[in-house]
Amino acid sequence: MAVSGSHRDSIYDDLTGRTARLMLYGLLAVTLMALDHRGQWLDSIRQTATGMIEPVYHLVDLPFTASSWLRDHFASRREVNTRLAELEWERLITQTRLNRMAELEAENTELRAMLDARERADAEYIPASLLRVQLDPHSHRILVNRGRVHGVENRQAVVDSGGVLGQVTTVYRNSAEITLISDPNHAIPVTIHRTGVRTIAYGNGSTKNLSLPDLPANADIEPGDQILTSGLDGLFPAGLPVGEVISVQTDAGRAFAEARARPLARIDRSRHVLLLDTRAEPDSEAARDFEEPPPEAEQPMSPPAAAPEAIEPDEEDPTLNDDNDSTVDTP
Amino acid sequence: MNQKPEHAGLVTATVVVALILSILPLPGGLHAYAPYWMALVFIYWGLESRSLGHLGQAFVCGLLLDIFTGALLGQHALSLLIISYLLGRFRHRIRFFPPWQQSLAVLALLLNDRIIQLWIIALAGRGLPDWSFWIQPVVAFVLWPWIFLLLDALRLRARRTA
Repeated sequence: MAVSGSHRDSIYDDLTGRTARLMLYGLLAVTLMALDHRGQWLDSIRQTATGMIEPVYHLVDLPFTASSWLRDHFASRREVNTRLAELEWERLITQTRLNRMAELEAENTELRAMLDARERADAEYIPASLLRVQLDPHSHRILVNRGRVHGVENRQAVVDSGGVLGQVTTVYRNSAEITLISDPNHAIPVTIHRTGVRTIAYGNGSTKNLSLPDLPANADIEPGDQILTSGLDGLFPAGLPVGEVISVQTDAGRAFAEARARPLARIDRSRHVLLLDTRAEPDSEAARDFEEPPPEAEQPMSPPAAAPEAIEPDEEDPTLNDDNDSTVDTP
Repeated sequence: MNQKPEHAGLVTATVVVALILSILPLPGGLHAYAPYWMALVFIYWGLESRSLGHLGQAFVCGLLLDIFTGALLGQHALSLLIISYLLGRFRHRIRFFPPWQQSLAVLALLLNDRIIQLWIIALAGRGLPDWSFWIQPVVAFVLWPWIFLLLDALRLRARRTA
């Protein structure tokens, strides 16, 4: 990094040359930014570069991992016991809920069998921890400590204990980059749990809220409504919690209402996440929904290539095709 | 005022430390207030010696910072480029300021940089930053005398041992 070259004394004094170089490098920087912003062209270069410095990330993370290991190692017996007791209770509660779920699942399978629908695939997942590395806060990206060698793949959905966190966008050898749902370029097809209205939730650069800008003006939606993934993109499995509506704005002059939702995932605080395996076939429910996309969801959505394949030829049910809202309550 | 070759190691070391500090998470959301380490390193070396004076070096270090932090490629490159340029322009004046006035100059440089970065972030549509975005230069302003003393001590020691 040291100054080299023979005319080092003139580096400050030669003003015109310096200004010319400023222009040159400045232009280069602006071009790079424009290319990077447009995506595609620089992606592979960037990926290679980040892949090369990946060990540094692990190195920065190392002292934190080591200290938490030490803390665990030397935690007092009492602390451990308290924690254990807490977890036992938690497990009991979760187990009870799961037992009820098992019953529902059995019922659901039966109903699905009656309807000749495909079995819902159980999601496989890879647990991962966040690398304690601070990326640029405006990039809305985080790094996790699982990568290609652990079987992580691009476009896997990522959830934490609260709900959907984002999706894997770049996979490195020992780590993976996750784009958060708060990224302004991120969109996720969702459905309002109470009414079944389908729409799309966009990130808007804030970790505290998501925008749902394309709701029909008369849509039945109110603060407190839960929003879940609709599975229409074939990327996120249907039914994962995404957020909770906090405000709805209806403007009489406009055709669309806009809602804001608070993400349920702890976007800026999660430490442990699950990477869901999306290789499972898209849900047949989603496929049926896709046959009749509601007009409000049609335009802004650009479903990935997987979605059209989701249409099943043997699924036609004329009774479901009359109204948008009625299609949602399919079994 | 010739470049001392023994600085090379120290200059590289400070740049590496600045890179690591930039991605080192601080507890309790303190990271939002962490100063722009790389810029401080550039300002120090720009004022006190002729190291890191080339605009190309600012560009390369900025690109490295972009790759490390996952920022838009070129964002920090442009930002360091402008800091380096302005520094080269005004270094003869800033060098002989008393410490607190030097801090003020650093504050001005970094505030100017924040405006440029805000412009980039807004144009890229990456979401407007909150108020803590503007705290960084102030933190740097407060820390500057100490950083200056620390780097100065390191530099003098490096010179003595050489």
